[in-house]
Amino acid sequence: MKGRLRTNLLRWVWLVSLLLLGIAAQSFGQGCSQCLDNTRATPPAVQAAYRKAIYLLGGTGAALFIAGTLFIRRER
Amino acid sequence: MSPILTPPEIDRRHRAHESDNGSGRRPPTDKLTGGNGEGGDNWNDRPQGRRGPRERLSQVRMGLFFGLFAVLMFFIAIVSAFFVTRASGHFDAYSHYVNEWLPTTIPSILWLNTAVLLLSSASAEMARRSMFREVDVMDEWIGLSRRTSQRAAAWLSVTLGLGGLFLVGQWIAWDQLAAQHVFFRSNPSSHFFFLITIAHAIHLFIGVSALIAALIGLRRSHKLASRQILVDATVWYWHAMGLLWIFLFVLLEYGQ
Amino acid sequence: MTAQHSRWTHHRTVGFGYVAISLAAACVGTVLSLLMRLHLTWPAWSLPLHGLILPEEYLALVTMHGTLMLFFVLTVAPQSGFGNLILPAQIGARRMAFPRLNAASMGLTGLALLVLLAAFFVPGGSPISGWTAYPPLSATALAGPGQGEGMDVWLAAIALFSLASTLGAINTLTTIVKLRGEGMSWQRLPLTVWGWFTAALLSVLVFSVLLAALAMLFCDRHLQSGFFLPTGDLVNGVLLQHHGDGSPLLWLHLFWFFGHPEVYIAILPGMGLTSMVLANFAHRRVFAYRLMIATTLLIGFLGILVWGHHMFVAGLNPFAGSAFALSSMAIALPSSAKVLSWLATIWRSRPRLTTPMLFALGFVSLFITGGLTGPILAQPILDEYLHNTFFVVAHFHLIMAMAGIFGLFCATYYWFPLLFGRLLSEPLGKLHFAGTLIGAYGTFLPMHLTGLAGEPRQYAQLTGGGSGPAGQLLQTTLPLQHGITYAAFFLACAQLPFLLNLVLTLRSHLLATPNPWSATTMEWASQDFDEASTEDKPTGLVTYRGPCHYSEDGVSFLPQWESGATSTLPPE
Ligand code: HEM
Ligand SMILES: [Cu+2]
Repeated sequence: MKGRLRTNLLRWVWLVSLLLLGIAAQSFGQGCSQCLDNTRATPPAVQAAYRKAIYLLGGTGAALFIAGTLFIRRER
Repeated sequence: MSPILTPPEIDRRHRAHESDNGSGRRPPTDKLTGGNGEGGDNWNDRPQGRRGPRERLSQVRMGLFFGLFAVLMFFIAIVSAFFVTRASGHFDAYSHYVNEWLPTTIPSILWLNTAVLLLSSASAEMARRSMFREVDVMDEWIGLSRRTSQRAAAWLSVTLGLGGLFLVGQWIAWDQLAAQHVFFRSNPSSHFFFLITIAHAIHLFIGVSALIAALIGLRRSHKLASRQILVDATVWYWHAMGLLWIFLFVLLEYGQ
Repeated sequence: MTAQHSRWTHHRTVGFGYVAISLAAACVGTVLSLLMRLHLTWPAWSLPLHGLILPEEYLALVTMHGTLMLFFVLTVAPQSGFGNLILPAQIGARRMAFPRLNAASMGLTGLALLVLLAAFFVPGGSPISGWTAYPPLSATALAGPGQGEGMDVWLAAIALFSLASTLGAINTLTTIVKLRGEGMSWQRLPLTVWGWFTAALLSVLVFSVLLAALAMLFCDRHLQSGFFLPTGDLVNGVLLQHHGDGSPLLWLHLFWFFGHPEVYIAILPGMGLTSMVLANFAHRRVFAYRLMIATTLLIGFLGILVWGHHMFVAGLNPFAGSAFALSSMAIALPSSAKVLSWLATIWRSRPRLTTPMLFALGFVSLFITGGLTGPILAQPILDEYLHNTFFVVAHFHLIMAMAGIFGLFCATYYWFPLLFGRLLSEPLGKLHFAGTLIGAYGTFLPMHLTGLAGEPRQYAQLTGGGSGPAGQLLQTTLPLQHGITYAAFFLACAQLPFLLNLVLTLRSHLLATPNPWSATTMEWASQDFDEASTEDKPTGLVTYRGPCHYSEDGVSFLPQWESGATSTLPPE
């Protein structure tokens, strides 16, 4: 009984989370006119370079954060 | 429950008058070589399962590795800026897109430097390994010889020499570029070449200082555990800087 | 290795050093903020001994206020200050892992503060480009009076600070991982320790990125590189001489990669403390303890991936903006999970409303109010309007500044008996709480409204400008502006009972009983040995269970250090 309630609740939490995230996705790709202008004036190669840099910086940071937390799990 | 104590007067007594000369009449004076309760690191303070001579070593290692996380992020930040700048340009008066980036020719001496740094890493590893050779460590811990420390000091000196050589090599590379009128301010790519090599050289300089500190510590420190820690941490740092250099060198050589 | 035997490297000494540093910074920062309010409300008011506050001087006030408060108060006090004072005892250890490194990073932090304050006295005065130091204004002395030597001094101070924070964080991490006492497993760690841990891990990862960005900015300023400067950029009518096609956007990426985790570094310890204090005084277990550990780590992790939400109108590619909006919305989930756990912990309990409890409740309230505006700002469309308005100022002052300060006061009242052997006076404490809460909301809630009306951030003067529609709109906010300024002064004065309380309590001879709050965490066990002692003897303490074991009927509790016998809660 209690377990069912739990899974039900969890399902709702997931739904609401997705909804919240969806609200953000609704604005997909819309920026202010300045950003649009600026992006249109940026050659694709530069855009790709920014993308790469974001992945590199964010990816390394996130990977090291995970590594740090996994690292400590080896300790009692 | 009281720990096994090393009486405090032992480390206060003066060593010079008491050396044994190998006659075996006196117990070894270099008592504080390791073991229980050493150096304010009371094993009773520690939870079960953590009461061993390697605890302090593993603490220092962990601290060092977290520090290396920071170093890595420092260079990653610069490298991601490198990618962006390499691609960036501007529109000139005729609406042409110009990219000012002119790849900096990498002086070939950097290949040599890289080889030297690799060698130095090998000798550093020899030093580190020799610090943990069990039989010798036992001897040294009891006070019968200082073979491990001596051997490690020799290898560390080699590393120090090679490390110094690397730094000199880097200096020569910068000089060669200067002779071709390539300076920091010349071009976006040279900004990065100098920024990266100099930032790495500063980190390596810290490594050289650590090597010197370790060499002094090998002579001065009374505790075998401390000597091991000094060598171990220095060498791991050195390896990390070597690895980092290879990554940066590949980037500069092939990534421009 | 006699480090552990020296008073100078003892973690209590270091902790008090950090607290002193942030206290000094807080005093200066507060005065600066009051000057800002005075100037905004009465632009013609002239500062005695100084004269009128010029626009560039107003910007200097903004910059120094932000830098002092964010770096030297909200980063230093919760993480390094209380981290040192309490952390070792709370994990059942007698010391920090690297006492000398610890002392050194405290010294460096103090030096950084001195260097920063020196900016007031260099030619041209302090820098004017805000705590975020956006180029091109931060990259050239042409941009304004403080952007010459003042900016160089700022760069040096922040570089020192980054170094110090990294070293301090390494010490904190190693201590938590390696020095936990007997029985202190990961699940039994108090949530405060998890907060310190996550904040330290973030510090290690992001401060060095800031350091790299500072180094590149230094090159742009003095070595004619152009990492952050576009070609042909004019500043004050002068063409910048440099090589390269850089972009300020690059600085924004690097800076906010640091900047967003930085704001979490400021708040995570307070979040952990709030959980523990609420449970302590509600005599309940923390609701969903393991989930709270997970959300702490998750907030830290996601915090690394959301930096772009500060750049929605900075020329960011709109698709990148959407991605960052998504990750920012995602971080609201663990944050709300935390709020729910706080509410569930105290739900229908009969909490003892002591001063630390009140401040913890205040923290929850402020975190909710300030947090609600976060997801609003994280919508690129809404942020296009709200960015650089006082709406943002309201958001971060409620959620970071005020919640952070409430966390600090909570810590002070809660741990005062542990640190000084005396309880702070409750009536004065409650007066202090009431005044601070009213002052905080009175100051920062109306800023939402002025922000919605379009009041821009970092503008020296709102009136007397053009009489266009924008000017007229701002005119209508003037009554609110006055109210905000009065509230700000009220908020500052509300700290007087606290000072009085400190003085009176420290002079009194009334000693607190051991464990006066019926707390369950390890730091309260150490009262039978002198925690401040530098002697190296075993703690003899064992952790038997997780924190906050209060019985269902609310009459007894089991501290972490008791092997079996329950203690009875004192009657109310
Ligand atoms: C629910 C999670 C949160 C979200 C979605 C969120 C979102 C945002 C966004 C989008 C901005 C940029 C507004 C702009 O400049 O136009 C912002 C600014 C800010 N936020 Fe939050 N925030 C959250 C929680 C927090 C927390 C917990 C703190 C600090 C403890 C914080 C501190 C700040 C600060 C200091 C700024 C302003 C930085 C500046 O421009 O000087 N935020 N936030
Ligand atoms: Cu943010």
